[in-house]
Amino acid sequence: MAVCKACNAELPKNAKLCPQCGTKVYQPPKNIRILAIVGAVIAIIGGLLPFIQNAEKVKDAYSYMSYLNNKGYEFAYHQILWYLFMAALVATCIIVVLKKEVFSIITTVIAGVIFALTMKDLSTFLSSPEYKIGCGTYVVIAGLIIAVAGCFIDILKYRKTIQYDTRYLTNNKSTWSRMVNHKWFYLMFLPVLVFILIFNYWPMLGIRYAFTDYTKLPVYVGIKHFAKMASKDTYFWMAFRNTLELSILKLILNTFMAVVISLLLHEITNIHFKKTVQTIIYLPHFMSWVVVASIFRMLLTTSESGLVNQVLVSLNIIEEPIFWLGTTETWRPVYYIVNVWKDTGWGTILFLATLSGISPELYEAAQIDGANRWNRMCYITLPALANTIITVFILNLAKVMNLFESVFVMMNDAVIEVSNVIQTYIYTQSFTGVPNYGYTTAVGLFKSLVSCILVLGCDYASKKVRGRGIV
Amino acid sequence: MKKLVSLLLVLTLVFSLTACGGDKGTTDATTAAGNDATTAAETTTEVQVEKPAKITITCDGTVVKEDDNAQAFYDELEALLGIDLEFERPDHSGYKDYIGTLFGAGAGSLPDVVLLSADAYATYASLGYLWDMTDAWDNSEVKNSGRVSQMGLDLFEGSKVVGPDGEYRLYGFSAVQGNGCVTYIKQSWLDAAGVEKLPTTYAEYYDMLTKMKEAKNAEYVVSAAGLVGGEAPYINYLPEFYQDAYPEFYEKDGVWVDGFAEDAMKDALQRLQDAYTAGIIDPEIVNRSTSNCRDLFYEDKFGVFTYWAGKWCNTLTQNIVKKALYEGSDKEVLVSLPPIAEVGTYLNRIAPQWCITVDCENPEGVFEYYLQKMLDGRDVQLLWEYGTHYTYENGVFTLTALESNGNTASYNHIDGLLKLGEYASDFNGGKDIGLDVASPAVAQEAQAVFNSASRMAPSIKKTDTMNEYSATIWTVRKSIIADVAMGKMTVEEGMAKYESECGAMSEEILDSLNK
Amino acid sequence: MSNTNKKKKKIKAFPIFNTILFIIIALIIMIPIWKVLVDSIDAASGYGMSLWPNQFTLGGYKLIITRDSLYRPFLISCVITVAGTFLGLLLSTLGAYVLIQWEMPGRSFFAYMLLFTMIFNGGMIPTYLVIRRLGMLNTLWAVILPLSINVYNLVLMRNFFEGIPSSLFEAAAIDGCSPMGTFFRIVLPLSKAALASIGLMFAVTFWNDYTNIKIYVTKNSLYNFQMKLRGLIVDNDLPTTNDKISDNTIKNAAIIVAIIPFMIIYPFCQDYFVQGVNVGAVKE
Repeated sequence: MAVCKACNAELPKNAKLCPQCGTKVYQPPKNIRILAIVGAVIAIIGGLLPFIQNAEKVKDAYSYMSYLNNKGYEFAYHQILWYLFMAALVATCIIVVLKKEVFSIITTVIAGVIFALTMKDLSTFLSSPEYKIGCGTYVVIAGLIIAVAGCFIDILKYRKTIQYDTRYLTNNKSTWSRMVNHKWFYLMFLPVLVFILIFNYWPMLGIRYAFTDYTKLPVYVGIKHFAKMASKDTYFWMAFRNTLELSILKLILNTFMAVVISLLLHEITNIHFKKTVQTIIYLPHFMSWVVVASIFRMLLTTSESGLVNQVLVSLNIIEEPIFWLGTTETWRPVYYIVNVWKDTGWGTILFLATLSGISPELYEAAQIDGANRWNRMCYITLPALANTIITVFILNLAKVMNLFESVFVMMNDAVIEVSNVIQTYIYTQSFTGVPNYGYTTAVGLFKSLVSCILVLGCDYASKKVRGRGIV
Repeated sequence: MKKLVSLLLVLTLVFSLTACGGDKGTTDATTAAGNDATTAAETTTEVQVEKPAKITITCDGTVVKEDDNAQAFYDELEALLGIDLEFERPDHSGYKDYIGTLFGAGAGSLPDVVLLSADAYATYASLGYLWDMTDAWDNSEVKNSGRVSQMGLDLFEGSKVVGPDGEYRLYGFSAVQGNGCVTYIKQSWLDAAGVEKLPTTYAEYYDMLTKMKEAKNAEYVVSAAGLVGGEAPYINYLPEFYQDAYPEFYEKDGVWVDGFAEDAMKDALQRLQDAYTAGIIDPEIVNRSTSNCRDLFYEDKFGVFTYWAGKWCNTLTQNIVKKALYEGSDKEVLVSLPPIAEVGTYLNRIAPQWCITVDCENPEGVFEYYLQKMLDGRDVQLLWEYGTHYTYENGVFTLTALESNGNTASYNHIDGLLKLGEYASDFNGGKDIGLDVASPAVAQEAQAVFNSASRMAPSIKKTDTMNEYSATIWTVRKSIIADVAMGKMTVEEGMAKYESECGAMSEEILDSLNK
Repeated sequence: MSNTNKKKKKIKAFPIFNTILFIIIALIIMIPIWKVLVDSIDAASGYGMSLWPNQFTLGGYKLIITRDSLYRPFLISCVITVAGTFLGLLLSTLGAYVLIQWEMPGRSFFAYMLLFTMIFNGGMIPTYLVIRRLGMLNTLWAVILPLSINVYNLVLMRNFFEGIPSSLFEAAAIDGCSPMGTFFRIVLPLSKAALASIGLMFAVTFWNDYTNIKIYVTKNSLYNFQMKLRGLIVDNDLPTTNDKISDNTIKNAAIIVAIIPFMIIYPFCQDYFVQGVNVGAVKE
């Protein structure tokens, strides 16, 4: 007979919760979901690789579908087959996570059948010596076997699961009754849902072009673009590094400055002065980057009209004018300063709105306890602001890879090495050569994955530290 | 759990492909049908061409600005042609992106006629989006009328680009020449330097620049928007320094070569470096935009400026006088420098092209009744040239003023100085319509200098391989040009860097071009 | 800011230092803006920096006010901004309110669903195809609708709502207030600071929009002011005039005109930042 660990009471058979103290005592056996998922993912990767390979044309090796097209096969039919195949595998992953192993095995088998159908058509190519079986075929078969095996093991385990005694099942309301309780909230969420589905998720179907060469019609090329990024393109990685460095340092600096300025502004007692200062410092946000860049170029010029160089020379800080924007060492500092100039004031708006929510009583109480200004800031103001700071910071992380205009208007040929970012790199591609929308999308997907890691990573950290994430 | 959900969401997004599988098939079919229609149509040129009832046209907002009474112009154009014209005119500043989206969305919904920049023209022609009008042009009334100048015929020949079949064909129509840049020298700087005879060789030219720098005690003498241009023909703002070098792939005696790896480029880099370190070239040249340069030119910061021929000579002169930012600006004259011996000829770029897309149902009709009418030598051409800004009384044309504007318009959309066709000999009773002189004398002179010595810019050809590497190669090229010119590395180091970083890619591109 | 009597005993150095600091900051920030401002009223403005206009003129502003090709875009911008901000605030408050219902099944799913749209997007062409399929090309809806669902602002709004004490919701529920009633009677009135600041962020997004207009709108009569400004600055697409003013003057006047609405609105928003104090007052 089992005993509750918390209160040592004897447990009835098949109980999920201890009848005495309500502690959870039963852990359902963990199924080996991982195995089935790994199998499905391997098969998905295999699906991106060539099923049939042409020994001579390495470039086309990825693209079994374009062969079909050229040889007069029904293009759409095979494409739909391939999509179904991938969808079935994705469904397998989802269903496994939802612990419905019986269904997952069905979807996996469906994927296998579709694959067999495709291979049946493709096998006609194998009669010619020009073609051989591609690596994708092997990978898919291996993946499918692992996935099916994983599902079977899960089912076997699932069979062994102890049946619950329903009387002790739960002390919470059922999901259904909670849903009924929240019915009005679902209704309220409906408009948001509709908008997000139409304007965000619908276009997202376009992500599939990342696996195509899309100059005129999308031609499926598997992971070619990603392979290109990973291997040959050293300048892509330079741009990637620059993007991360410029963007994240800029984000940290801007956030830091905005916090400091908000805290100091918060201390100003004269309401009119405060308002005037606030209005002035947020004005630069309304000037477009083109304008900002042209003004700063003028202020930083080496000739006698360059205000900055003139002042610095006359103060004997530097000996002769510096070409700030044309020197690799100075370009980045200038870039950061211009960004701080432009966006700090704007960044303070959210912090000031948060600060205004702090109760004055807290300050009064602190003052009675003899806390000085510094203490009040550290123990009252900053903690109150922390939530907003973290939220804003993490939200902005999602945008770091999109850095474009601010760099584009300030960069020049002399500082390419420190200023070329992914977006400007892509832009360069569009003025010479045929724009390949597939490659652009692939780079976009890559950027999204990086921001995804950044955001989810920070969100996870925030959860660990503060107990909750940003959403 | 949440992490898993999110992971799954990623996966779902990436692979939720089923929903759109059908789309592609239909687009494919449509395009295929379009191509069939084109080929079918080509075989039936003998048949009388049917006049289209309606034409949809996409061009940018500067094709007759709103301020220039655009609506009146379009109404009159419709009336003259007897065709219902439906214009989409996105703003000029966003036109490139608009075109990219329009064609990116695929065939099936393209307008009948679209105005494309030289680059876009080459791109979409090679992708097979445009209707091949070579035959239509060869058999056209305009071409055979004798009114098109020899330069015009050459330009039409020169704007043939590689189509989807790899052949050079004509996919676009332009009623004006693309124009190029001429080097302008301020008379006041010539006087100050005591130069009386315009330089004819690079040595003389460089000598003149040095003298000017001394005489005016200037920080620099020449400036431009960057050391190398952002798009073809790349070198047109600094022709004297580049001379015969061309930093992009081009066809030389029937074989494609990488212009950047040639010896001519080494010499060009050396010249740029020498001039830069000697303070001849603007030390901040990498940072300049064209409008920066113009402003600095007005302020007399420098005296030698290579800029667009024709009307820009007049605009620059007028602005110098109007702004009066330096002493003697009211009497300033810009001297157009005929190309020095080493340059030989200035470059004429491909003009923006009016193209017929594969979605057009009656391309012959559109060519016949819309495009070639721009050069009909009669009312329609007159309208394109002068819009509604003229009156016609007793056989005399008089230009009227633009709306609320003291300036006299010198042209509407087709610049008279750049136009390729003359008016018909019997038009207006054989009398000179008298508007050809509408352009100021200054502009005419500058244009004459350009026209007397210009050639077509090297033609553009695009391949997949080129597309794949172009961003990297151009990043390296630009960086090397800047570093060498600014003295951060020697010419040899620069060339070595190019060879080590781009050599292989360049080879691959050349293979694809010469195939 | 509340008790002045105590402060007098403390060192006065900090407030003075603080004031001076902000005067300096304001001056530094003003230098580049000053250049634009001076150039906008200087008939002969050029490349360099000058403290005062050489030839004073209001011609640039006059031109913008009188030319319908310039003031119409301004009005279009206003329409987009007002409509968009209203819709945007509605969607983000609704979404944010739902996201703080911690007990609601599916809440996390919705939250991550929203967050994902910040990270992944379909790209320009698929979005264009969707807008075209919806028949919104060449309408202002193509700008207003897609931009009005803004997850960034929604999450920030949720962040503010989280600060509302849960005791208030419980009290409302006990009083028989429906979720809608709670939303309108408790949540919104208590979130004025949030509404003001996030409304401002929406307004700016709509005001500054250029990318959507340039792709989806090809009718001259529907261009907004930013589009026009682009044309003026980048392409030198200047209206012709017989007044003796330089191109620069018109450009700079347009830049200033683009800023003015927010110079006027912002001080009003600031009043709400102070009113937000209420939330704290209710706490415990």
